[in-house]
Amino acid sequence: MASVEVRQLYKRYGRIQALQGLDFSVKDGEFFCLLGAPGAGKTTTFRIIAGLEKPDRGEIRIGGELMNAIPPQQRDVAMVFEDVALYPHMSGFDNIAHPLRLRRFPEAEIRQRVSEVAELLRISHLLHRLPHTYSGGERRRVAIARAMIRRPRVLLLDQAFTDLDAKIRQEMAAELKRLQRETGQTMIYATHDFEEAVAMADRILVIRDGRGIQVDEPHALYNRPATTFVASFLGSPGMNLLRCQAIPGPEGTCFSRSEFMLSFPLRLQEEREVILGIRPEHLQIHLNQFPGALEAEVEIIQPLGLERIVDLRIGPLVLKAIVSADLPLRLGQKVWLSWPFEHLFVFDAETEERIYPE
Amino acid sequence: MSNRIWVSWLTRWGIVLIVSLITLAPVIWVLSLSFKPPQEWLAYPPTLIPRQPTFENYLVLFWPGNPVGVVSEMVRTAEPVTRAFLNSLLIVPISTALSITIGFLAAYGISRFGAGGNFLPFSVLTTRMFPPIAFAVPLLVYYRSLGLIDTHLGLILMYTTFTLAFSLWMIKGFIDGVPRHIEEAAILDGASRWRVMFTITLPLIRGGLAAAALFVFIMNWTEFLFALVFTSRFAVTLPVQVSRYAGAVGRYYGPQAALGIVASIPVLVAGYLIQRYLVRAFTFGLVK
Amino acid sequence: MAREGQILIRLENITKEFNGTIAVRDLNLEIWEGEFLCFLGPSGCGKTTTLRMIAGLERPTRGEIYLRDQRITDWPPQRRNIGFMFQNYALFNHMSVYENLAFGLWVRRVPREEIERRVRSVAQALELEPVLHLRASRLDLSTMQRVALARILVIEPQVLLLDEPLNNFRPGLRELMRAELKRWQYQFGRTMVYVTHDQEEALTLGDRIVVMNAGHIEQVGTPDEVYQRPATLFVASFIGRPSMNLLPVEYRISEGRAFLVSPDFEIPVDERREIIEKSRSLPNLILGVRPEQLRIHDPQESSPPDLIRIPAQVDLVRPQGRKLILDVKTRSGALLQMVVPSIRRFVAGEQLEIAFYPHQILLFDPQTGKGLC
Repeated sequence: MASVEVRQLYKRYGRIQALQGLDFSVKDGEFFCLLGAPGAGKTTTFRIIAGLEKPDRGEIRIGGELMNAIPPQQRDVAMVFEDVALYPHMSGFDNIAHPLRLRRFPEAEIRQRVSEVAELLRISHLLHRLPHTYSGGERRRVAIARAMIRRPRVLLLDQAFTDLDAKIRQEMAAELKRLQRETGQTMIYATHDFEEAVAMADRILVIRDGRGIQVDEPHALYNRPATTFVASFLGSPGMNLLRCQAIPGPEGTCFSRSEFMLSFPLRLQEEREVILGIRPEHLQIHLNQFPGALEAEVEIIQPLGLERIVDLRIGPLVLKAIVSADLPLRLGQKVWLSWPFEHLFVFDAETEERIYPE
Repeated sequence: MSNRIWVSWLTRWGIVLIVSLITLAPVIWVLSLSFKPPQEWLAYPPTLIPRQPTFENYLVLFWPGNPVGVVSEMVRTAEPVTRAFLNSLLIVPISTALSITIGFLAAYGISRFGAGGNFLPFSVLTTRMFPPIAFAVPLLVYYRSLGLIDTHLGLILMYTTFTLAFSLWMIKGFIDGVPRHIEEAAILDGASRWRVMFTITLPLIRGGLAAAALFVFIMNWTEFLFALVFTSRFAVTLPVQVSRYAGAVGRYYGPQAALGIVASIPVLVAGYLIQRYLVRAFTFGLVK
Repeated sequence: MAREGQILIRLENITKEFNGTIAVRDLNLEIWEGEFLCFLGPSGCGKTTTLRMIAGLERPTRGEIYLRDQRITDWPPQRRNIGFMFQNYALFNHMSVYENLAFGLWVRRVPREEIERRVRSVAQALELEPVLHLRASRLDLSTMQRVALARILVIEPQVLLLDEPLNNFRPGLRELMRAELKRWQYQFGRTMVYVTHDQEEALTLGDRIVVMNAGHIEQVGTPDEVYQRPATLFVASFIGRPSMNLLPVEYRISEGRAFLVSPDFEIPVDERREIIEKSRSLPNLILGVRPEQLRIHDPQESSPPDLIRIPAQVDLVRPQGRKLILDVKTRSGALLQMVVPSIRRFVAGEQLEIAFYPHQILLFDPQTGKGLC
């Protein structure tokens, strides 16, 4: 197991700048996640770390050693691809044994290691069959077994669970997390699904357009997003974000839009355009009017077990709230919203960076 | 409802049967003719099954002067086809194997590394862009100075070169169909490119290679023009021999029919041996 | 929305076989006019096959399909006037958005002025006017989805069939598109039949949900019904994230009172005696309680007498954004999952008391899998 350092990575494909100065490090034994929309540069980064592509500029270090000049066969990096890439003409056993056979391990040891890994991933019963007979989840486990068998310094998983059923994805995510804990394997997982990332990772790097935006533990990313992008990317539904004018006053600051005006007891230096943020679970719905409340109309109700996701319309704006299913709501109903100060975020409208809380 | 299905089934098989009969009719006729004694060659009304079947037509091909029967009287002066048969059996498989091997190596380079850029892969096609006769004249000059006329090596080189376009492009198509990720997974496992090529890519395109090999084999086996121009005695191949035979013993339909059958046998055998690879290629299904 | 009783489509004893495998078995279902119906189930349960049979892309091996009392089982797809939205949208990449939308009408020989009118009206409704002239290959995913939907709406079909259209979207975007789909459904009032394997999606979108498993229907009901009164073990564990906690319990009568007994707790169930005693698997039963119904109880606080409390230890903490999933282990070693708001941090090994109310539990027969209620 080893640490991974990615320094100032640049990569261009034709006219597209895929990576623009990407920079991050992964600790030894850590479960690290690259989180970003499709096309953000996750796969490119992985391919460079594995050695399948060369960066235009920048360095990769694994365990402190510079890897740039070392061919992929010798980097001791394993990767599970998005489309799994099992050898279709070999049985599950042979697939998993392949890396060891290449290194001429004695057959007895190969057999033992394969059965250990198969036990860990609960696939011992299907090793004799060919990949095309496996279900989606089984294929992925075999791919993970193949990657883990030689105990690589780094294990890269590129969106390893796309295209599995929602329930199976969640199970596999939990299993993978447990596996990583037990083996202490350094893992880097790339995904566009923040729920997966948050469920598994020790730390997450949010990537956008080939640049790192914020790297932090999952709860910090969720509770203290550095930019509006991070705030809306994590969360389903994402954070409500509204543009308004911030006007500082003697007792606090007034935030105004054509539809409403809100005051909060926080100090800003000068008048500027800002983006207010509040997460749907913190927006409160009241059935009766009271001073300072925002009037809104219930536009869409989506039931979700004991909760509901409600779309609320204020003129051209739509705010989303998550409330208990006990609250009696009907379509078209007028309700009043309060925006609790303790869950308020303020971002600068131009830089999109968080101003408050600091 | 099931009536409709029954009717469409009947129509389908009916068409298959009719088309097969039409296509195979000449072959069946030749087969029957090859076992007929001379008196039945032109008999009217024509029969499918010979009344007095004989192997003499076949025997006479390899041993014209044989003392056995009537036919040998007629064709005593002809050349035995043994030499041409053996030449073909030597030259064609070797050049097919060479063509496929070189084609595979080149196709891999082009598919995975973009070898030759935009120009080289297409330039290989020039060998098929002109009528073969256009190449024959300049090649004749080359061959004469190299001493390759009427040699096995000469024909092998020529056949390999001119079928390379097919091999390369057909195989490239199959290699393109192997997902890159599978090879990259092997690389990360620690395999060198050569290993990947032979233990991963090759097994996955076995069917494609078999199809290409069969195609090239047939092309080489039936190739006439270059064989005619560049051989005279030693390296004569079967197609040339057939044409000579026809010239020499024109009216002797029986032996000619037998020769036709004999010339087809190796191709049929090759096709039979390869067919299970052809089927496998389509059912393997690269796993998604 | 759904006008109960107005049946639009009826599936009668539908069976579909592929090469000896039975994909759908004896399926009977009524689809109401104007409703948003969701087929929900794991991969391979037959939901997509059923959808395709409704569309006419597959023909049932046995059984009949009726559209407003007209037998359409043999009708080819074009004749059925049903819109089908494929999983990968299947847009004509080389054509512009306008041409994509117009294509279906053009094929049906609708006059040009009418095509123009309908395309523009749908484009306006789905906010596609800015992209009408763009080539379909240049669009981003959510716009493509709108174009795919618009393409079907333009034909003014009686029913829209959607095959997992949001599958590859990331969660934030998915939620947005779901809300959009719901909004369009209110707006256009069309009957929509939607296939998904994501139970959250089915709960939020469906007026009714058809839960399928291995080719047959497990339950048909509103989101509330399948959530609160699941008919079978399968439905109970498929709906809800994380899955419902299922524990084996024993039914015992002691001193004239009925109890459900497990190594960790004892629950009085006198009110349910009658129903429970109908089960043939007694004394064994399966108890189900949802992770979101379990709460953490402060041992210092007093509690209502019927609250069931169980000491447990935190095994694994799994953050989920605004919530946390806690895997906890009881004294007897049973693993339970619970969902708590992520207000504070939890540590593996921490001791807790978890609590739930008896009226929240569900009971199932271990042999038939059916719910007892």
